[in-house]
Amino acid sequence: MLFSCYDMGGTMPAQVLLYFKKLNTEGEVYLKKVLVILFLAAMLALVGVNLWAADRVTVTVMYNNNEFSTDMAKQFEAVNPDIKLVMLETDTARYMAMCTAGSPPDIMRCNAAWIPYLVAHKMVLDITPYVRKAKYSLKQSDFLPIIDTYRLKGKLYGFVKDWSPTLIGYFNKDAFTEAGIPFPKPTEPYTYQQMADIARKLQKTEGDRVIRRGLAFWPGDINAQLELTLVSVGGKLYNSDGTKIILTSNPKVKVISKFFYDLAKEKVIPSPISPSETWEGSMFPGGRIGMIVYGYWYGAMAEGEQMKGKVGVMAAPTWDPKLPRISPSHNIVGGFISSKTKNPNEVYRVFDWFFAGQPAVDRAKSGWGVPAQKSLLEFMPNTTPFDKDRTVNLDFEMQKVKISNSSPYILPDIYENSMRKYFELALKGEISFDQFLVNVENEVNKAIADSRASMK
Amino acid sequence: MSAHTPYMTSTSTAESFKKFLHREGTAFYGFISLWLVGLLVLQLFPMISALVLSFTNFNGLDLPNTAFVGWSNYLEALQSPDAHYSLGLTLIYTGLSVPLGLATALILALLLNARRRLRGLYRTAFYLPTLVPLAATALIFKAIYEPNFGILNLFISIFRPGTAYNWIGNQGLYCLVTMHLWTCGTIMVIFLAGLQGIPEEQIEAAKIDGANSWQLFRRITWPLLSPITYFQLMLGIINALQMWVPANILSTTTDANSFWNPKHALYVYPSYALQQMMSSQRVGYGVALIWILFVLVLVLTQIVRKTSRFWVHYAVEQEEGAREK
Repeated sequence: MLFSCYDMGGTMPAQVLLYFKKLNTEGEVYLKKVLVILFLAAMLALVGVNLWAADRVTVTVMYNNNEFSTDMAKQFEAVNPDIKLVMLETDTARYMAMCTAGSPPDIMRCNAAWIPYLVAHKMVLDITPYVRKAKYSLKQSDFLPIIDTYRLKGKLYGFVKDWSPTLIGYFNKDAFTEAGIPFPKPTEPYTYQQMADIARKLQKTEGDRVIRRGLAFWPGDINAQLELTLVSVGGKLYNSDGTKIILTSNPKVKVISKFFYDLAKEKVIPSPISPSETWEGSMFPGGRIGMIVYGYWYGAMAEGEQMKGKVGVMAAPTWDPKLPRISPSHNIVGGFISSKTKNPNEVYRVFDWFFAGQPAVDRAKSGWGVPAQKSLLEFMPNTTPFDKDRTVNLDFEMQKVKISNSSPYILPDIYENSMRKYFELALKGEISFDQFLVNVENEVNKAIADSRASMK
Repeated sequence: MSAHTPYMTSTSTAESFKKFLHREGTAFYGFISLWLVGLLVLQLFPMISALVLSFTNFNGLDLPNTAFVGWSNYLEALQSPDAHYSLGLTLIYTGLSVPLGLATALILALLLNARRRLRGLYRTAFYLPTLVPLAATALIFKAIYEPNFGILNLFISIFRPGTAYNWIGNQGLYCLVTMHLWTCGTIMVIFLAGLQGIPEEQIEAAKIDGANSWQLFRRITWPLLSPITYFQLMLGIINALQMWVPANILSTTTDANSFWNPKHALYVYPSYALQQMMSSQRVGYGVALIWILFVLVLVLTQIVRKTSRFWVHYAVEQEEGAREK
């Protein structure tokens, strides 16, 4: 651009000055005055805006736009004119870059499983003192026990936006009728083995092509399937201080992984050797999956347009009916405030409003998740027969919710990546099933050891 | 009173400054200053930072607690089975996609250079795929290669009903190569421009002397196209070694995190490096992997450059020094 201006016979500013020198008639003098006044007005406006902005505290929020929208941000600013919200879409790469630059977002979306790691790296603000002065929230007696997933050593490090017992499932009534299988009740769980047998009956194939999948688990990968099922039998992935993942020496891990391995080999569940053509969540409302175990939240979209009245609710499966019932949860989405925030009081006002103000009531009414406060449970949808089944099922599940432990030394992604990588190799026969568990354990434990060494 | 009064000194300084402003060099540096600042701030500084980070255990989040680890990231990269495997895939992809891409583009250019009806339409049709964004292209090919309802398996099912071969999971690399061939329109257009620059008199003279099509191509067309081929070869190698976006998109499943964790058959080297950075929080190690890739690109392009003296023919004789460089 600069060179093209040069080619035109002079720099842009020089040409502008030349133009002004030529303006010497009365009308053109008037034009000059108007332009100068406009320019001065623009400068004053700019200064004014900056002065006004200087009185406002800027709070940066990194959250999914469909959860904390710009419209919601404007609603907040209208009532809180001293705060300006800068909204960013959740982006891991951008978050890492902002952290490296020393200016992370004030409020960040996260899953509860991240909290031990973030606290260990001193990236999270302890919000306990702020809760006591909060406007909307946060009476301690109103908290559901799920809030403890954001609590460490008595201190609260974040809050739950909404959560979901993850093994609540939904079934296709037409597929069940076609297979001659009676509908399950929302409070009578199948065992995993029963579920697998039913899935085989629901599966429809044409040669090697899967026309209707029998069963799909959240989120479609072995890592969560193992973790959630392990929790449901009272097991844990990591030892008590998170310094080791325990796979090969835990017989429950082997039995549960083998169960999913066999189902994947038969193509009854999606896997790297038989992937779904798209997200299973969008396939189920199209009648392409017989049963889907995706959690309470999925009920808000399970019926879709094609399946109104044709979807039923299933209780979370149980491994062994003789064991005490546990309903695991993996989807505990919330947020935290950065320890580097410069304006904690103002940031907490935003945090408080979003997690416990009107947005929390709206979220509870939408049916997309379970709120973290008891007082908001009454707002959850309960009008249609399907919603009533969901409510009955949720009351049944909520009594026995538990989550897996995580390690403060690594984010869960490292375990998930390792599981995906070696599970694919095991399914393809490139490594044995036992070697798959050994490899994952070694890789994750090495990552934990490296992280511990760097934190000393 | 001194002959050099302050008034006289300031005049000569002003004159010197005016002369400085009017020099050609000053104007040049003034105009490129913006670009120069961009180069320093947006390219050189990040490269130097990346080099420094490659000697650390930086996890992408916790810069204050980052420590220098010396050469251990590079040593790990050289010994890692995952690095070897992914680099092997990348080299195979480069070895297949670059020559096949050039050959396909050249054949198409030769065909489209001949006078025939609707030549313009064919040229447009072959060029159009290059206008589709890369991510969209990857999604199109994902739909083609999908096991249960992909177009390819549906076509094969006409002959072998119920076919559901997992093309991406088993032959992912070759899927990427076919994707690359679909988008060789840009190279084709450049070859076409080169073909149209070949003097007609030389072709006519060769035909008069009894040269057949193959001889025309071998003795006239190919040598005169060699500078363009050389340029495309260099670019092709550089791009192929850095390819990762289509591999990751083809691998993406139902979980958003799967974007950073490609399938085994698509586990190319840049994807491995990015997975270490974005998903495993090993930014220092990931950057070391990228620097190794940089050195590899440098080595391969230098090999091509050195060998170019044997097969690249310039219409204008190159200076000895230029050839040496």
